[in-house]
Amino acid sequence: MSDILKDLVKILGNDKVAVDPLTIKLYSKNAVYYEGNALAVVFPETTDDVRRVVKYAYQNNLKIYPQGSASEIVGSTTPRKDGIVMNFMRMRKVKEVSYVDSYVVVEPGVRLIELNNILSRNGYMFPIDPASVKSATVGGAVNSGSGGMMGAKYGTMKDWVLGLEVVLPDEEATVLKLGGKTTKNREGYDLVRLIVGSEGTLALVTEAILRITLAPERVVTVTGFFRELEDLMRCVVEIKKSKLDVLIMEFVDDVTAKITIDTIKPKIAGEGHLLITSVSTVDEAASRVKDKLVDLYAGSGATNVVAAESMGEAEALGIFEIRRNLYPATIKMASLSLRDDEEKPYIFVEDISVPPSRLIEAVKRLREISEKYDFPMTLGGHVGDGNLHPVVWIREGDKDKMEQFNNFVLDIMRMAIELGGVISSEHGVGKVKKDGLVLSFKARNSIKALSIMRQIKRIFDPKNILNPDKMLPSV
Amino acid sequence: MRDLTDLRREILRDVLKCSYCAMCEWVCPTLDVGNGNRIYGPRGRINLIVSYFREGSENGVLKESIYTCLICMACTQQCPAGINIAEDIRKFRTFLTQ
Amino acid sequence: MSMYNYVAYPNKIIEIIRFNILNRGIPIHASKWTLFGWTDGIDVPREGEWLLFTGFMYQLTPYIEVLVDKLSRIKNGFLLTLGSMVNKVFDISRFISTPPRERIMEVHDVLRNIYRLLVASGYRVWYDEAIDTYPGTLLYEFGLDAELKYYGERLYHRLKSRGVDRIITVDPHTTYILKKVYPSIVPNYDVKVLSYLELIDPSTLCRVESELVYAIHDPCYYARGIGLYQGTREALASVGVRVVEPRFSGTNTYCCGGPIESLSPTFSAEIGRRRLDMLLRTGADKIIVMCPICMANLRRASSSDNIIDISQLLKRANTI
Repeated sequence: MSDILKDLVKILGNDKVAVDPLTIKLYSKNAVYYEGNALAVVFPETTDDVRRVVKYAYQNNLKIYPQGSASEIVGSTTPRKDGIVMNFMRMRKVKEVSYVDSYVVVEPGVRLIELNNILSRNGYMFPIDPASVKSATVGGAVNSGSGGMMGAKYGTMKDWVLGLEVVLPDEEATVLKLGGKTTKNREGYDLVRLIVGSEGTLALVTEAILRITLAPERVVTVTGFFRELEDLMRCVVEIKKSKLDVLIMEFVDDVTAKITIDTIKPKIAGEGHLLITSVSTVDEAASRVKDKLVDLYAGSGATNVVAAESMGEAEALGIFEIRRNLYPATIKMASLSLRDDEEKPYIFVEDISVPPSRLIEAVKRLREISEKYDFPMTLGGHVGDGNLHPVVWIREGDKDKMEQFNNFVLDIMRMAIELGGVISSEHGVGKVKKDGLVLSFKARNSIKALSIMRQIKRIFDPKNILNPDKMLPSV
Repeated sequence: MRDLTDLRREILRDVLKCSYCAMCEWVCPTLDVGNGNRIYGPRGRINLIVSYFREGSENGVLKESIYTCLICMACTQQCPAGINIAEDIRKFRTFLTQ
Repeated sequence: MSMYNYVAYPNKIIEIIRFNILNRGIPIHASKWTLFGWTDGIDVPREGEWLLFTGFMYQLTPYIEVLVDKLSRIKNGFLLTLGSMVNKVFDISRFISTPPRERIMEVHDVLRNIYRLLVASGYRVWYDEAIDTYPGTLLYEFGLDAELKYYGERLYHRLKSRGVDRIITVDPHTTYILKKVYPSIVPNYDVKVLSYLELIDPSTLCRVESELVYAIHDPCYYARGIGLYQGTREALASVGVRVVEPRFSGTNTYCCGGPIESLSPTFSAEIGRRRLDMLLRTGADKIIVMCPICMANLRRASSSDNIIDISQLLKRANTI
């Protein structure tokens, strides 16, 4: 064992340091394919554990790669062999729940689903619900700036983090308590929001104070199929004008809906583009809201309309089945396209946003790009906030396709920028979208923003030991 | 020694569908008791199987991982890729007793 | 590597158990009285429509409890190596001290009661000591599929030679192996297999006059294995048992930890403690189990006498 590893064991104890190659390998991957390497994995259990490792790393120029579940898909958690993985899954206490003050104090390793299981007992929720809600941790969601299906109503992580405890990667491993427990807070620059979405490049999050909110008393959901995208968007506009409190507005394009229906044989089927709308309401109004939504769907030319007056009923009717099975259907399609059994498909989920009013154009151009590169694509997304998730797959080891894929992604990002959107909405930049960041700021004549970001990075992390080479493009 | 070529192929084909999303982990009792170390969870187990088949990677950790599995199938019903996780782990055990 | 030390000598333990199942028809030794004593004093027909197949899981559990206790104290691999060699000549599981008599009598009561419930529900149940056998569960769990296939074929041959085409099982593991596993590996396997919990008629049951609240613990191989969880709740509700659901129940149930009791006793015990804690957090007075393995592992974690088998709550109404 090298000196570094011996020192780490001395600092943390044997049971908090893994050095065996098979274990390290399991901590060097993310949910796409970025496979790195590392010297060791450390499992801090307290803020003090974190501090002691950071101090040592600072003195010895050892890189630290923080991670939770590593379910991200942009490469923000993958390590290199110049450093150690710091995994936060052992810091998983829910320290405080205050319904009166509407906040929780949690450690970074708590999974979002676990937090919601606790809150739901009292009718509350933490409304950030990424597709990875079962695996995503608080620390990962803070650092990725995650969003989810309810983004149209509740925004993303940046709207729900009130305060953070962080350890800085400096000589003293300084602990800072940023923000607080109140919704209103105007104490200088907003360092909390600077950390949210920083992808582990600025500081190590050891505790978070999160806002919580009441879960809706009742959720009414309606789904239907539209032959033309224009009709679907007309329906979206009508719903938005109707004073309904939209919670979820999901879309699956016609090609993808057909593939998914053929693959998984869901309870609900139809032809065309699928739109699912969930509205938050109260028990007494459920039936009225449902009728209104059904009218709006029918008025826009929807077919096979199915409505549910509660979440339970929606689940029983299978309303979310097609949307939720986008990913399994994609995997199935990918597997079918492989030449032999021992090949592995890599699934890539894109993450652009455009203003919702530009969605029709975005979908049409996405299809053109998909054809240009001959990448079969499934497409779904959050219509409510204009966030689209085209999904493609590549055979592992197919170098030509990989190169084409990079150009394919560049084209998609250029398109998003042209339509007034962004290149990353809720997944982050990591290693895959650094070029996109340059494109986006250039397009706005704001390239200096990137140099400001680099300077911020240097202030927080003078020796560049924390998650180096992530998010910020090199000069 | 038994001819396990077909079994290897059958298991490998299934576990290669793993995209590392971790949605199987939150229900795993042994991951919980194993203090969150991935070798004690379903995602870790099936990816150790991948490493064993493809690169021949094997050490004490593999046995520790595979033989702590309860085959309780909680993970299997969570997998969005439809991997038959518990069954793959169970069948893989035969490679460790050869 | 001090970080990883929860599994000791798996291959030696597997070899002993494998040898015993294949050569002695049972993973560990148990007396004849333990296995069949439940029929003493009742007149169980030797012919009928439905064969009651205990699979010995209930009867073996008291022995497993003693064995696990011993295994968790073995610190020396040499002993096991020696053991696995000696075992081929002499069944070393005979050296394990016999479990307390009351524990075995409890198991006999469970089986006797299940038999009575089935008769009350109108089933023509029969039993034969020469057919009832260990179902091969551990071969399955250890991934020894070739051995399992051989074992299953022998078992099926035995069933067919007696013309058996309908079986009633009493525990989830036996149910799963006979109902789901053997049909896929034993050629032409054609036996209808149902758990007694799928068959009993609630109208024949006696009401439970109790103020106690019971937390229900679903076994993995009933809930996820064959989708049986709603029926058990309906049966309990019909006799007036107040049931509460723990965190993780139904198809999302949380394993008791029992299946790895022999390979990793420490892990198994800790999972049992955590599951027991979840069940007690419901505020329930008692915990209902429906699998002998769950019973053993949760009892191992519990300091009080608060875990009962579902069959102990389901009694035949006096009017029948």
